[in-house]
Amino acid sequence: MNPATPDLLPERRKRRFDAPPLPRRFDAPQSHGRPSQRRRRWPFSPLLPENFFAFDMGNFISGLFGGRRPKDDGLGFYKGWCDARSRDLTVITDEETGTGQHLLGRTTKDWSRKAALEAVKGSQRQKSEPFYKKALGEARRNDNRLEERGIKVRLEEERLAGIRKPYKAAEEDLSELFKPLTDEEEKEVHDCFHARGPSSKVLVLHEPSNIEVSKEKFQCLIPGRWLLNLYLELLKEREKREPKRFLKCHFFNTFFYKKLACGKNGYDYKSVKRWTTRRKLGYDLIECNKIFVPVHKDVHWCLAIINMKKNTFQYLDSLGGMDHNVLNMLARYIAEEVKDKSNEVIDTSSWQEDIVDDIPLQQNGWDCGMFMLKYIDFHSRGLSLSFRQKDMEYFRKRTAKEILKLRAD
Amino acid sequence: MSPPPEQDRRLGVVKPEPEPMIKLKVLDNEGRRVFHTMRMSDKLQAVMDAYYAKAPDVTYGSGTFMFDGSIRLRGSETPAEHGLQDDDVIDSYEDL
Repeated sequence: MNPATPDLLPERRKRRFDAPPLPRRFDAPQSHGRPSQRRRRWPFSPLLPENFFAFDMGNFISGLFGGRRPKDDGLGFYKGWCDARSRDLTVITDEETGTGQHLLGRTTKDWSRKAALEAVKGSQRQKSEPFYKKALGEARRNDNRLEERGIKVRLEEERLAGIRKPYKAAEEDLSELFKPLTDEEEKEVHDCFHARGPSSKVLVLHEPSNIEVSKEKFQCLIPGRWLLNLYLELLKEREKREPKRFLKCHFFNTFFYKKLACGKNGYDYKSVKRWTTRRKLGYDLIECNKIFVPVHKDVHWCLAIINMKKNTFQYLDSLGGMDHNVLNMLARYIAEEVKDKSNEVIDTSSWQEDIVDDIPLQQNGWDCGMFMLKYIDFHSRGLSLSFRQKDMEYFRKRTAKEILKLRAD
Repeated sequence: MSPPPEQDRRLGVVKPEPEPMIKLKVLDNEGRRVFHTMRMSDKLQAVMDAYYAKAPDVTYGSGTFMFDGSIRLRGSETPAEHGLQDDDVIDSYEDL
């Protein structure tokens, strides 16, 4: 070491950290290696951003502290960035980089890109569709069960057609059921509905049952119990008049179910025991074909039918409801009734509940009484229930006429 | 001229002897039982009044009285018209 030149060549180890940088010698290399060597040492350096390592570091620390930053932030950004770099250069247009100046060039590039995208989409669709179609076609060709199904369906339809024929034969009789009213009858009914005068004026009086119908009762939309009871009496008279045309039925009035089941002690046979004496009816319930029991549910009328010939119970609710409790009560009743009156023992617990699916249903809130009467009417004729909501207007008029004339047809 | 006293006496003899009384029972859905004893030719309104007196929550005149389940009784009628007998039961319903 030359002691004469300590300032010019200071010892490196002793240099203070805040000392000014040494001037570079002009004859020394200005940096390490040549540009070609530099590139070789850092092959990615021009592609990577300067803060490349910050990505994962930041993510790492924030991950440690459970930070709110999305975990994927660094990696996702990097991936997106790499993708953008690796994409075909023709796809990245001037429009995206925001440096596009030439309108003509830009639009042409747009078109090419759209066309390319559409071509890609179209090819994907065309590829995916034939696959499952082809698979389905093959499955169909292989699966001959489908053919069997088709044959079964045809057989079933033929069988159903055979069943429907008798119904159609019965429907021939419907012309009488839907017979339009004559002008006179129409006028009479209209007068009763719209006539002036005191509403308590008695229109008709049914002598045997002592039911009188005032205009007030007649005009109400929902047939009250008196109208129902009167019509049931008329149906009974009709059956007595023409026993051959109608099934032998018994029509309980609207009080029956209430008395039987809704007393203070629930089910009570004794309270209705005297209702069906032979002396009074002239027949026993066991001889009947069907027994109709109107069931009143607060504001709604339903119908229960005891079919004595088929040994079934039926419950018809024009709102589509079902009440097994009612049928259980009636099963108990009919067993006791037959035992009491005819001294026979029948086992009603084995009787089926005949549930009918396609009964006509009411579409409004006030036709339940009318529906119930018509269920009874059609069943007492032994017909299927082939009426609909739209027939109700006619049935109302027709029932009104029948009540006014005190004769059901 | 006053009529002879023998005729008056004879009229009294001709008078029919009093009818037998029948006992009617009224039952309603609340479980009330009302008994009423009356003559065959009396008006049934008497039974109904007796029922209404025992059932204060039933509005007077709103009840319906049925015999044997299907015959409606009215106050102006008599038991004889419907053939009511002793110990017969009349059902009462509150009219809706």
